[in-house]
Amino acid sequence: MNIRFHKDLYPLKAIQKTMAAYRHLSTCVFSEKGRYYCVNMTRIHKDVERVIVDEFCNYVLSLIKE
Amino acid sequence: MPAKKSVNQIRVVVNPKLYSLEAVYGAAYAFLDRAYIFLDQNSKKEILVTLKQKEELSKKELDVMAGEFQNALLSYSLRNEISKNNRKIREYIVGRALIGVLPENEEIDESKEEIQEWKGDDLGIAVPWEKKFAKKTRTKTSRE
Repeated sequence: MNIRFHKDLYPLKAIQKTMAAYRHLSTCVFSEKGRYYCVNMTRIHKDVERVIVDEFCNYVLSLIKE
Repeated sequence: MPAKKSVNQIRVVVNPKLYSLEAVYGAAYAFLDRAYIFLDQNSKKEILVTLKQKEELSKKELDVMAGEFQNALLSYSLRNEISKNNRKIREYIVGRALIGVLPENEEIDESKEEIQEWKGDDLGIAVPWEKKFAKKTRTKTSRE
Protein backbone atom coordinates (compact mmCIF):
# COMPACT_ATOMS: atom_id res chain seq x y z
CA MET A 1 0.00 0.00 0.00
CA ASN A 2 1.32 3.38 -0.97
CA ILE A 3 0.44 6.69 0.72
CA ARG A 4 1.35 10.05 -0.82
CA PHE A 5 1.64 13.08 1.45
CA HIS A 6 1.86 16.51 -0.13
CA LYS A 7 5.02 18.33 0.95
CA ASP A 8 3.22 21.64 1.50
CA LEU A 9 0.71 20.06 3.87
CA TYR A 10 2.57 17.34 5.75
CA PRO A 11 5.89 18.01 7.53
CA LEU A 12 8.56 15.37 7.10
CA LYS A 13 9.16 15.01 10.86
CA ALA A 14 5.54 14.00 11.50
CA ILE A 15 5.73 11.32 8.80
CA GLN A 16 9.02 9.97 10.13
CA LYS A 17 7.70 9.82 13.69
CA THR A 18 4.59 8.00 12.50
CA MET A 19 6.71 5.50 10.57
CA ALA A 20 8.65 4.82 13.75
CA ALA A 21 5.43 4.38 15.72
CA TYR A 22 4.02 1.93 13.15
CA ARG A 23 7.21 -0.09 12.89
CA HIS A 24 5.73 -3.03 14.79
CA LEU A 25 2.65 -3.18 12.55
CA SER A 26 4.22 -3.00 9.10
CA THR A 27 7.38 -2.41 7.13
CA CYS A 28 7.42 1.19 5.92
CA VAL A 29 9.69 2.41 3.12
CA PHE A 30 10.02 6.15 2.63
CA SER A 31 10.70 7.93 -0.67
CA GLU A 32 10.15 11.29 -2.34
CA LYS A 33 8.46 11.87 -5.66
CA GLY A 34 8.02 15.43 -6.93
CA ARG A 35 5.81 17.38 -4.54
CA TYR A 36 5.02 14.28 -2.47
CA TYR A 37 6.52 12.21 0.33
CA CYS A 38 5.68 8.57 -0.33
CA VAL A 39 5.34 5.83 2.26
CA ASN A 40 5.11 2.29 1.01
CA MET A 41 3.71 -0.17 3.53
CA THR A 42 4.34 -3.88 3.22
CA ARG A 43 4.15 -6.89 5.57
CA ILE A 44 1.16 -5.37 7.28
CA HIS A 45 -0.11 -7.06 10.41
CA LYS A 46 -3.31 -8.94 9.49
CA ASP A 47 -5.37 -7.52 12.35
CA VAL A 48 -4.95 -3.94 11.15
CA GLU A 49 -4.84 -4.48 7.39
CA ARG A 50 -8.14 -2.72 6.71
CA VAL A 51 -7.54 0.41 8.71
CA ILE A 52 -3.80 0.89 8.82
CA VAL A 53 -3.56 3.41 5.96
CA ASP A 54 -6.32 5.63 7.34
CA GLU A 55 -5.01 5.35 10.88
CA PHE A 56 -1.52 6.19 9.65
CA CYS A 57 -2.80 9.39 8.00
CA ASN A 58 -4.71 10.39 11.14
CA TYR A 59 -1.63 9.75 13.27
CA VAL A 60 0.48 12.04 11.07
CA LEU A 61 -2.15 14.78 11.39
CA SER A 62 -2.27 14.41 15.15
CA LEU A 63 1.52 14.88 15.31
CA ILE A 64 1.35 18.02 13.16
CA LYS A 65 -0.95 19.67 15.68
CA GLU A 66 1.39 18.81 18.55
CA MET B 1 -16.39 25.59 -0.19
CA PRO B 2 -17.79 22.85 -2.42
CA ALA B 3 -18.01 19.27 -1.15
CA LYS B 4 -17.79 16.17 -3.34
CA LYS B 5 -19.33 12.90 -2.20
CA SER B 6 -18.21 9.36 -2.98
CA VAL B 7 -18.69 6.01 -1.24
CA ASN B 8 -18.26 6.40 2.54
CA GLN B 9 -16.35 9.63 2.19
CA ILE B 10 -16.79 13.29 1.39
CA ARG B 11 -14.28 15.81 0.08
CA VAL B 12 -14.24 19.45 1.13
CA VAL B 13 -12.32 21.93 -1.01
CA VAL B 14 -10.74 24.73 1.01
CA ASN B 15 -9.48 27.97 -0.49
CA PRO B 16 -6.12 28.78 1.20
CA LYS B 17 -6.66 32.47 0.52
CA LEU B 18 -9.65 32.42 2.86
CA TYR B 19 -8.52 29.87 5.44
CA SER B 20 -5.01 29.44 6.78
CA LEU B 21 -3.30 26.07 6.90
CA GLU B 22 -3.31 26.29 10.71
CA ALA B 23 -7.09 26.56 10.67
CA VAL B 24 -7.29 23.47 8.45
CA TYR B 25 -5.01 21.57 10.85
CA GLY B 26 -7.09 22.71 13.82
CA ALA B 27 -10.39 21.63 12.28
CA ALA B 28 -8.89 18.35 11.09
CA TYR B 29 -7.51 17.66 14.56
CA ALA B 30 -10.96 18.21 16.07
CA PHE B 31 -12.40 15.58 13.72
CA LEU B 32 -9.74 12.90 14.20
CA ASP B 33 -11.93 10.88 16.55
CA ARG B 34 -14.93 10.95 14.20
CA ALA B 35 -13.37 10.44 10.77
CA TYR B 36 -10.24 9.50 8.86
CA ILE B 37 -8.86 12.69 7.39
CA PHE B 38 -6.52 13.09 4.48
CA LEU B 39 -5.19 16.35 3.06
CA ASP B 40 -4.09 16.99 -0.50
CA GLN B 41 -3.60 19.89 -2.85
CA ASN B 42 -4.85 20.33 -6.41
CA SER B 43 -3.26 22.22 -9.28
CA LYS B 44 -5.10 25.42 -8.24
CA LYS B 45 -3.31 25.18 -4.87
CA GLU B 46 -6.63 24.51 -3.15
CA ILE B 47 -6.57 22.20 -0.13
CA LEU B 48 -8.62 19.03 -0.54
CA VAL B 49 -9.81 17.61 2.77
CA THR B 50 -11.14 14.07 2.53
CA LEU B 51 -13.34 12.96 5.42
CA LYS B 52 -13.79 9.21 5.51
CA GLN B 53 -16.29 7.77 7.94
CA LYS B 54 -15.14 5.53 10.78
CA GLU B 55 -18.60 4.15 11.43
CA GLU B 56 -21.29 3.57 8.83
CA LEU B 57 -23.07 6.82 8.07
CA SER B 58 -25.91 7.68 5.73
CA LYS B 59 -25.42 10.26 2.96
CA LYS B 60 -27.25 12.83 5.03
CA GLU B 61 -24.99 12.21 8.01
CA LEU B 62 -21.95 12.58 5.77
CA ASP B 63 -23.29 15.92 4.59
CA VAL B 64 -23.83 16.97 8.19
CA MET B 65 -20.26 15.99 9.05
CA ALA B 66 -18.91 18.03 6.14
CA GLY B 67 -20.98 20.99 7.28
CA GLU B 68 -19.68 20.64 10.83
CA PHE B 69 -16.14 20.47 9.50
CA GLN B 70 -16.66 23.70 7.60
CA ASN B 71 -18.04 25.32 10.74
CA ALA B 72 -15.00 24.10 12.70
CA LEU B 73 -12.78 25.55 10.00
CA LEU B 74 -14.42 28.93 10.35
CA SER B 75 -14.20 28.72 14.15
CA TYR B 76 -10.48 27.88 14.13
CA SER B 77 -9.80 30.56 11.56
CA LEU B 78 -11.45 33.19 13.75
CA ARG B 79 -9.67 31.86 16.85
CA ASN B 80 -6.31 32.18 15.10
CA GLU B 81 -7.12 35.70 14.01
CA ILE B 82 -8.11 36.75 17.55
CA SER B 83 -5.01 35.05 18.94
CA LYS B 84 -2.79 37.04 16.55
CA ASN B 85 -4.54 40.32 17.39
CA ASN B 86 -4.30 39.77 21.15
CA ARG B 87 -0.72 38.56 21.16
CA LYS B 88 0.81 41.79 22.50
CA ILE B 89 -1.78 42.09 25.27
CA ARG B 90 -1.23 38.44 26.28
CA GLU B 91 2.53 38.93 26.41
CA TYR B 92 2.07 42.09 28.48
CA ILE B 93 -0.18 40.31 30.99
CA VAL B 94 2.20 37.37 31.37
CA GLY B 95 5.14 39.77 31.72
CA ARG B 96 3.35 41.70 34.49
CA ALA B 97 2.47 38.47 36.28
CA LEU B 98 6.10 37.30 36.20
CA ILE B 99 7.36 40.65 37.49
CA GLY B 100 4.87 40.35 40.37
CA VAL B 101 6.43 37.05 41.40
CA LEU B 102 9.95 38.52 41.72
CA PRO B 103 10.96 39.61 45.29
CA GLU B 104 10.77 43.35 45.94
CA ASN B 105 13.66 45.50 47.24
CA GLU B 106 12.04 46.04 50.65
CA GLU B 107 11.97 42.33 51.37
CA ILE B 108 15.67 42.06 50.57
CA ASP B 109 16.44 44.86 53.05
CA GLU B 110 14.48 43.07 55.78
CA SER B 111 16.45 39.88 55.31
CA LYS B 112 19.72 41.86 55.51
CA GLU B 113 18.59 43.31 58.85
CA GLU B 114 17.80 39.84 60.14
CA ILE B 115 21.31 38.65 59.24
CA GLN B 116 22.85 41.66 61.02
CA GLU B 117 20.78 40.91 64.15
CA TRP B 118 21.92 37.33 64.08
CA LYS B 119 25.57 38.43 63.83
CA GLY B 120 25.19 40.61 66.91
CA ASP B 121 24.52 37.59 69.14
CA ASP B 122 25.14 39.00 72.66
CA LEU B 123 24.06 35.92 74.58
CA GLY B 124 26.15 33.59 72.46
CA ILE B 125 23.22 31.43 71.43
CA ALA B 126 24.43 31.08 67.88
CA VAL B 127 27.89 29.83 68.93
CA PRO B 128 28.21 26.05 68.43
CA TRP B 129 28.66 23.83 71.51
CA GLU B 130 32.04 22.54 70.30
CA LYS B 131 33.51 26.02 70.15
CA LYS B 132 32.25 26.92 73.61
CA PHE B 133 33.55 23.70 75.10
CA ALA B 134 36.87 23.99 73.31
CA LYS B 135 37.46 27.43 74.86
CA LYS B 136 36.81 26.15 78.41
CA THR B 137 39.07 23.13 78.06
CA ARG B 138 41.84 25.33 76.65
CA THR B 139 41.57 27.71 79.61
CA LYS B 140 41.61 24.77 82.05
CA THR B 141 44.68 23.24 80.45
CA SER B 142 46.49 26.60 80.38
CA ARG B 143 45.83 27.07 84.16
CA GLU B 144 47.21 23.66 84.94
